[in-house]
Amino acid sequence: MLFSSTIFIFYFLPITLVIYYAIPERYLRARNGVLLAASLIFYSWGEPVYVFLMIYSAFLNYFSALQVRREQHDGGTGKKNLLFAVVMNLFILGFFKYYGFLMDTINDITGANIKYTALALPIGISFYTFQAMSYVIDVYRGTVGPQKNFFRFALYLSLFPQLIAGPIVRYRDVAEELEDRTHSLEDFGAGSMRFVFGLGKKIILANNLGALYSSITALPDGQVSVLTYWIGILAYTFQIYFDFSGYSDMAIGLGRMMGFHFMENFNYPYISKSITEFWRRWHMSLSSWFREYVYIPLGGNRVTVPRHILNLLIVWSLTGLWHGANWNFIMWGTYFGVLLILEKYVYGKKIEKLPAWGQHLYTMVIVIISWVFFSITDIGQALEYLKTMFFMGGHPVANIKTLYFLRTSLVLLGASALCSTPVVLEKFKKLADRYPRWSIAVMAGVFVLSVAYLVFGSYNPFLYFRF
Amino acid sequence: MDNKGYYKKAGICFIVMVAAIVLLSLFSKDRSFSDTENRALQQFPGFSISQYMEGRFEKRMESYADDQFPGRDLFVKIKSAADVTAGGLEANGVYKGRDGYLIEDVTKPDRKSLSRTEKALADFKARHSNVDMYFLLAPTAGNIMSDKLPRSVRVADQDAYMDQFFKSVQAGGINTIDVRSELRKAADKGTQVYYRTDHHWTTTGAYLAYQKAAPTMGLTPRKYRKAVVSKDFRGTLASKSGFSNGKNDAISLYLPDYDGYKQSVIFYDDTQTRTTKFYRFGNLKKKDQYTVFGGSNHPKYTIKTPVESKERLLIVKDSYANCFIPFLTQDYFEIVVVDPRYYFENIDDLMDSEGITKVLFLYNSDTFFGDDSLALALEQVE
Repeated sequence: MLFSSTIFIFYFLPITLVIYYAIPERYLRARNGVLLAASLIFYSWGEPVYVFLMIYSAFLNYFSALQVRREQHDGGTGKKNLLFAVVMNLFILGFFKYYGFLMDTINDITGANIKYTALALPIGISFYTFQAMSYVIDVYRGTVGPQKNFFRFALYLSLFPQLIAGPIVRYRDVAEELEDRTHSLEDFGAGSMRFVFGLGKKIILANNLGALYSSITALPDGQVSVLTYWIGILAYTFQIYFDFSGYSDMAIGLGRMMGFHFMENFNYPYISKSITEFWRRWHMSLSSWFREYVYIPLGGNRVTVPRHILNLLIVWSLTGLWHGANWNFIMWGTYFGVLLILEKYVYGKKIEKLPAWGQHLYTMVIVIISWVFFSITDIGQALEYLKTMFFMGGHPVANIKTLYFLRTSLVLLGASALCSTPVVLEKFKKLADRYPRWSIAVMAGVFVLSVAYLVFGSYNPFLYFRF
Repeated sequence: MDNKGYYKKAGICFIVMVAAIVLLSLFSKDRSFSDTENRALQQFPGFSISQYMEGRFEKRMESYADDQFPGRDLFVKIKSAADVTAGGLEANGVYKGRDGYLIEDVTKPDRKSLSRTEKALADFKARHSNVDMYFLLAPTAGNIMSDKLPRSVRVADQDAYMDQFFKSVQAGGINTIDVRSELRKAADKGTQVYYRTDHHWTTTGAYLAYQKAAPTMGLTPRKYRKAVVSKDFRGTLASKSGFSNGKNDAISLYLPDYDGYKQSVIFYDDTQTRTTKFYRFGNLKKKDQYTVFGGSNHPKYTIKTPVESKERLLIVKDSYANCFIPFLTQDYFEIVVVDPRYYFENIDDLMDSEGITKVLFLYNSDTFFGDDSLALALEQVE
């Protein structure tokens, strides 16, 4: 089920909340039970088969963690059990997400032409597998105790707000709240406000930007122009940010409505002054996962320079691969790896000496180019798109279509640019301090408008489903 | 924001908004049909484990939630208002043009299915070589009224598609009726040949087309006079786009302005009803007032008129013909009207059993270029 659907907002959510809050707070176990049941329904909605895979994953990791602890208790290291759990998790992920890609690659290299049927990707598998692994590894490291109650662990893994698209919540961050958390109308209100603004980002901004981008990529060659393609990729740049960060906002908000506090996932990435900074602000739960469970175990930066460079390349190609089972995603990740190495070892200091606007421009151009490779899975086509952007495609600078897109989308693009900076939220906070009622009216307005677009639109694809 | 109680208010506001919609949908009766969208709405789906496991229950439930959403039309208006405020010019393929015109994007033919239709037409003509055939392909507003489109909008070149099609049909021995210059001339003079809010031509447009078609079909054009029957028509384009434009459309009928007019008897096969009335004035009170012209789309009907002519005409058509057909009744003893989008029987059999002597194909370019039901209807089943 998607958050941005009428079935979720006006059926699933109210029913879940009413049952959840009908149970007195002191029976937290019962509330957790409601939440677990709701999460399983949420996950199974539309494609029920894979709910069993998730339950299986829950069993696997639940018992593995207990076993690791038992070994350690008996004087062992628990390493083998950890290794087993990690391999099994990667195997599940590999089989369901990368099987087709692997077969294609093997067939391409060997020419063996092995026939296979690609599997449907289980929703959220990249997210919950990573969560499960963080749990077992943390138990192995002793950062957190194993969860004795299976249902509580299953709740952690399947918790519907963060199930489909993150943030990738580490077990240790919510372990306490699973057993003991407080509920208040204040928290509920803050959560619902966060949810509504996330919904607005997704429906009002991201969906319309997505429609703009796809109408531009669908243009026949004769109507393409340089400026139009820049508008197109700019639309995609904003779309992917509002889509994904909007979904994270909704997840964080929903969690808060039920007493959970998830980590932040985005911190205005598009105001960054370097790529290094960009990755400290973009999809933070994923980059911190890779840092903690891959980069640092590889030695991090406390190694020789060549080894450090190798570490960075490994981490970033894996980050790319996590985003999708295709070469273009590996390229996209490696591209960032290389740029981070360059910033670290080659020109980072020089960038810092540039005026602020120069640093922003540098960062955004690199980020925008990266989205070309991200959005267009065929690398040849991506290069064609880039060529046109940089005047090498033999297309005019602008044409009547450019004018049309400017005329119809300038407001949308402008609003998107503004909402990518902290300015809008600051202004909103000022308004809330001075005229609280008006600021709540703004929230209501965003909600009504989102619902209006939702009701109108059949166009509601969700980008991060692929991962 | 940090003051006490602020988030409480926000929370209550959220609860009230969601609850209001939930309660409204709980206590309002489910609708079975949407007039605005002209389609059946999803009803509450029955639940079974197997339907759930296949995902069918979920899909229906989602459509149900969307279809039965309280105040759907209001929300669509809010959305359109927001779009227009933000500079939007298009919604669901409809452009917001000047002078209150809503204009649909021009349909580009799919080369392959168009050649198939062209071949089916030529073969059909070859099988009935002694029967005269005519093809009236009407242009649409996106072509004729393109000067009303927003300045930055260019639609596809419908004229080029039509020219090519006419050429191919003529080669097959079918006479073509090209009404573009007549409609364009009238439109330039300010005559309204297309509705502002609907994708059909006006009866005036159809009348101009009839004046042009009659000589080609060997008839003397007859005189009709205009009578306005409605001034508050809001058609399909208004519904489809959600744009609220300032002007409603007027619907007029063209009534015979000559002596010796003979009443026709119409028999609708699908409803098995016989009537002498072309126009259904009751439908003017409905949402889709264009159905005043013979109701909604019928697969097949027959018009018999006690005139001297012994000709029996078959009209293969889309809804553009609905307001055109009355002009022809006085020149044919029998007219059989077939809409291949809904009529699935063999047309060759129909030619024989009804003793058809002339055939008229009447389509608008957008329906015609986007639809292959004509090819399906004319092709011979092996």
